[in-house]
Amino acid sequence: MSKIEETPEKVIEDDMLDDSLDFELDDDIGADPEPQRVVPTISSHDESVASSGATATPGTGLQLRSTSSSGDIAKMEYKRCLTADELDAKRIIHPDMKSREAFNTFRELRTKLLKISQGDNFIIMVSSVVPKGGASFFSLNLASAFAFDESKTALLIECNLRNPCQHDVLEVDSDVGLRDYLADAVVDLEEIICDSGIERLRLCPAGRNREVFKEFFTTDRMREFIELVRRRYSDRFVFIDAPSVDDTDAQILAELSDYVLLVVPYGGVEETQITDAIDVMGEEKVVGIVLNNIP
Amino acid sequence: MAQPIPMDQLIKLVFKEVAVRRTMVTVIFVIVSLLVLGAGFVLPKKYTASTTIAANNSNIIAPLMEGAAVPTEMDVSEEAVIEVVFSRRLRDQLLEYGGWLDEDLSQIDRERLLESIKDRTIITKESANLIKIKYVDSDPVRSFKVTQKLATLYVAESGQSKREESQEAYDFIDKQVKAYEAKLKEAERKMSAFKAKNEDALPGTGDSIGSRIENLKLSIEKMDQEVKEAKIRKKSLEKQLSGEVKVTASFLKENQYRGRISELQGQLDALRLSYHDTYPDIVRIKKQIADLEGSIEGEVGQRDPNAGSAANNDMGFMGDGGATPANLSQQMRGQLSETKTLIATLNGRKEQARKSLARERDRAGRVRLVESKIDELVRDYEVNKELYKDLLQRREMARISMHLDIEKQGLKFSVQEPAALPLVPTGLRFLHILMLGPLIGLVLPIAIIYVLLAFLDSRIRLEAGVTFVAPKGVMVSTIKHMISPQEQRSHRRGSWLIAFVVMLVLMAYVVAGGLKFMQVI
Repeated sequence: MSKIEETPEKVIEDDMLDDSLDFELDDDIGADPEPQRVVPTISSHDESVASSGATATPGTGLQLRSTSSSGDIAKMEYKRCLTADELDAKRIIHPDMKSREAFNTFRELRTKLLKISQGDNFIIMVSSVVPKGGASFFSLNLASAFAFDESKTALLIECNLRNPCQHDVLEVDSDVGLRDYLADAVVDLEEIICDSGIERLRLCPAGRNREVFKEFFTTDRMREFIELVRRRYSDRFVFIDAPSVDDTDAQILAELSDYVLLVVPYGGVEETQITDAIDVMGEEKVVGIVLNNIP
Repeated sequence: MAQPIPMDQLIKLVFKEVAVRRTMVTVIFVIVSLLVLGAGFVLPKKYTASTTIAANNSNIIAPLMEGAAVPTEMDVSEEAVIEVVFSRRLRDQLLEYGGWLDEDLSQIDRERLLESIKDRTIITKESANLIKIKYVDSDPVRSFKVTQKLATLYVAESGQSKREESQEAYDFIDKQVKAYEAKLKEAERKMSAFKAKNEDALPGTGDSIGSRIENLKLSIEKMDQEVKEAKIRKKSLEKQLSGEVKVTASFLKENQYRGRISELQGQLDALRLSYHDTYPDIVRIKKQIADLEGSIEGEVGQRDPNAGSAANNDMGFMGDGGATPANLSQQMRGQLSETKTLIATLNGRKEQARKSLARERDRAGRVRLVESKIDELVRDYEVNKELYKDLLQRREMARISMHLDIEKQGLKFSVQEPAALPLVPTGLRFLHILMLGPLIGLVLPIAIIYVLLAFLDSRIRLEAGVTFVAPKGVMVSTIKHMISPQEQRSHRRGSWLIAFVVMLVLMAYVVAGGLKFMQVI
């Protein structure tokens, strides 16, 4: 999870080309001066902005590098910004919220996780022990907590293909999402990483491809995608909103993640279910269990 | 749960759960409250009347008769009272008095009615001689009347059945007495029949036989003894006789010696005339004489000194004719034959005696058998006689008790506390229902939830529960339910609705209470 300095010669598969690099910065690296496309407000910390007009130009052999600087982050721009009231309505924590309890809890969790990872970025999977346990709610808020920190960014990946809800909650209207990306090599990375309406938080929605029989997460493309998002920016923390542990997807995703966090709904599971879930996920990966939705 | 939840936390959980499931709680509250209210209207009132009956034994006769008669102690257990009061005879009286026979009732209906009356009759024993009868009915007047009737019926009936009881007791004993009389007669008859059959087996014969046997034994012994003596005598006689022969022979020898000595003496004298004592012939003759004297001594010595004959005597030898050897041995021979005869006689008698003895012993055996049989019969008889005497005594006592009861002395029943008309219904009053209804309605769902959480639902609701299963090093935290403004608004609306519904229910109670109150008045 440390900075990975990619050698300039390293060529990445066309699919993964990131064409939306900002050319305003980092002249010293010798970026190709020709602009691939003209998008005036793109910062280096974006793979893409899901805005109309963004097109991908494959095959340019661009160099990729991982950067991080608060300047970069500061320059991340958003189409829209959710207001405090909207956030309240969506049950998303924010610094101005009235009841501080949840707010503090998430921040505490953030601190603890950072301690565990020793400050490095990580990929953490959030999964509920039983369906409808609140993993989506939790992963969104945890990602937000990380996004509060001005030196960090968060990427929330919607992997609950059964009931993907993040894009609804955040009102992200995207034609393409992760499924599309995994199914079709034509789809570019920048197309699926979207603005969430929250500062420093990006969403990768599940997408509309409804081919449920297709194995999405075991593909090489998925693995590469994960590696890419992990290594790209050292200050970006990745949150995977996974289905409940009984879904095999959860197990697959757990393998791809660094950490697993289990969500237990109040009055919803027996002890044995928790222990089974820990076994399935792998005891070494589980870093936390949260009892959610206490009345 | 691996561990039970501590009580204080459990209570908090219950309240939380009630808040979460407030809709269900409200619904249950409403249903239960309205049901209870409805029941209050529908359920009939109950009136209870009660009366106490005392069994008093306190009059003069009782102590007097103590020991002589046994005044019937009435069995005053609750079951017994019910038995009496609801007996076949009295049932119809009861039904009529209670006004139930105004409408025609089939047999089955009657039975059912009686069963329900029985169920509503409560009889308790207040103390050793107090019985309390309580009866519950929806009609106060009927409650009063029936209770009263129960008491009077019981008192009358007890008296009657007491009399019957003593009569029955007397009859029973009388029958027993007669039975034993017959038994005794039979036993006597048996005894006399037996005695007649075994005449020689009269009591006492045993003894006489015994003594006879003893006598016989003694005489046999005596005879034995005599025989022995006779035999000894015989032996000695025989010995003597054979000795006598020897003695006579010895006498002869002695005579011979003496004759020889005289001869020699003559020779000696002749020689002595001519010669000196030292003359060899004289010496020779003296020696011969000495030898012969020695032989004579020897002969004398040989002869039995107790020969019993005077023949030892030189003098007797030649003396009176009574004690000659020939006489003596004749005498002795006579004695011997006498003795022999005696022995034979004795033996004969002994043989007879033995035969008699055997006979007597036989008889003795028979007599023993008979005697034991008689003993048996006598025992039977004696036992029966004792019982008979005892029964006679008891019959007398029973007779007196019977008369006591007939004249109504002894145990008496009376109504201690008469029944009163119940004015106020017993049991759950409407007022109680008013208060209880909503309370139950509230408590019931809470209780259900409590039971659910404490025993039935083991799903995790506490951080401790998660920490318990979490492996070491895994963080555990909790998130409270985050409520959006929209949710809050709808929650509030819900609260108002619930409050409203509860208010409605309570108002229903108030209205019902008011109506009831006014009706009563």
